[in-house]
Amino acid sequence: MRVQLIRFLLPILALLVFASRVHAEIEEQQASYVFQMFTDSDAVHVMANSGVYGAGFTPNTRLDVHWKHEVVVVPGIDAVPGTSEAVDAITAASRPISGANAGFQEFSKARNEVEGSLRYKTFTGGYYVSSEEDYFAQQLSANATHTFFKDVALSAGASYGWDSIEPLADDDGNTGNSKKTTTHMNVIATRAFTPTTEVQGGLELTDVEGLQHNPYRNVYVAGSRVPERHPESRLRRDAFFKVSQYLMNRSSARLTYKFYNDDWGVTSHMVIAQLNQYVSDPIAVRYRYRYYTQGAADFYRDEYTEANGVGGYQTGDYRLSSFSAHLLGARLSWGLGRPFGWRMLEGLQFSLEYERYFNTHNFSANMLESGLSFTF
Amino acid sequence: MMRGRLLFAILLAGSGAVSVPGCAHVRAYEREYLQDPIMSLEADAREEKANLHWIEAREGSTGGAGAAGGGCACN
Repeated sequence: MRVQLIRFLLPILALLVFASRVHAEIEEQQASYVFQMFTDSDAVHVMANSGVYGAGFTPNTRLDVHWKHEVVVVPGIDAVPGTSEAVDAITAASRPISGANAGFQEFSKARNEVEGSLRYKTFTGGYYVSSEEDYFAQQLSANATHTFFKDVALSAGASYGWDSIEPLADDDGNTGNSKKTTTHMNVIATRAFTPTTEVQGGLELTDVEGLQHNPYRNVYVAGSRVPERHPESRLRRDAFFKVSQYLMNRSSARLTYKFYNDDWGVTSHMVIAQLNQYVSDPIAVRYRYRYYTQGAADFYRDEYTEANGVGGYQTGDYRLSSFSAHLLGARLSWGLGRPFGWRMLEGLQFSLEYERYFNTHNFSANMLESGLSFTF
Repeated sequence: MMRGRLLFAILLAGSGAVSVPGCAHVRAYEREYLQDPIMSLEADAREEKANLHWIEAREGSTGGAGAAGGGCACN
């Protein structure tokens, strides 16, 4: 735990030292704070506080630092101890349960993340670190953008992440300490098509190696309880296309389509339709609808009848089954302008957002977000 | 699977077509509407990244670009 804390604090200290040395040369600064609250039909609650600080030192150099602190609270199992209902709930639990009554008590844990990125001209490099009790993740990333033919911005990015997983004590879990690495590459082209139309297309490729199942979850296979097991290698690829159109009543419409598939057999389609509208000068509203549908992984079964699962793999994760999901939401953002002629409040902006998510597994969730940003 | 590969190839070609030079060039003085914040694709990308973690915990194909925690409790 102490080693994790040191590894977490070191990059923050390095960024603070860097920021203090160049403080005198700062041209423009931005700071924002966001509070998010998430609650779902399984009574899981997530509360997150996050912030971003960005500073431009010269027209060519910019530093951004992002932090986030979130707390997840999972309710205790609502069933009489010893009943088959309680046993099933403990078997399928995605949280650690150690001790006779632990499963019937609330479980909570906190996660902290910090991300720093430094841009010089068209090159950006970044480092990310996330720490929680049983999971420590780090990532290095790089990105370069170049403009061709005056209208086309081509961006290429890559990242490498390495995670360390140390499961907490769990009575029916048998996964030891594990690793996971993620290598990601993307190419994105953005083009101004007309004075009111912009289009973007991109390709992404991700290779994930290492532990990819939940170390706490068990599955019924041919009548016996066995630990969940997923393949240790997954190659994911997707392609997306976006078009953004300015409408002459001070609004814009955007359509996004994304196609995804991977070598576990999951194929998905996602469509987002979005409308942005200025209500008055400082107030803008955004409406968003998202439709998502996916097919099941090759080794997913509602019930496993063979002792070996499917090719040695078995999962209790509904995310690998076939389902569809809808998301509806609205966001209001309000720039203060200069109330009472106060120039110092000119860069202040508030935002409020609500989103409702539901899928064909009778799962639903609500997300509320409020934000405050300041440019100075 | 075959249909998936075909669709992926079509999207690959479509994404490539975005970067092919066209006949009409949008000049700097014609970019007023494109530079309005409500047209920004970049601002959306930042927000998508922030929202990715909680959607990732509920869908099988979202995210996967590494990091973003991964914590087991919110699965």
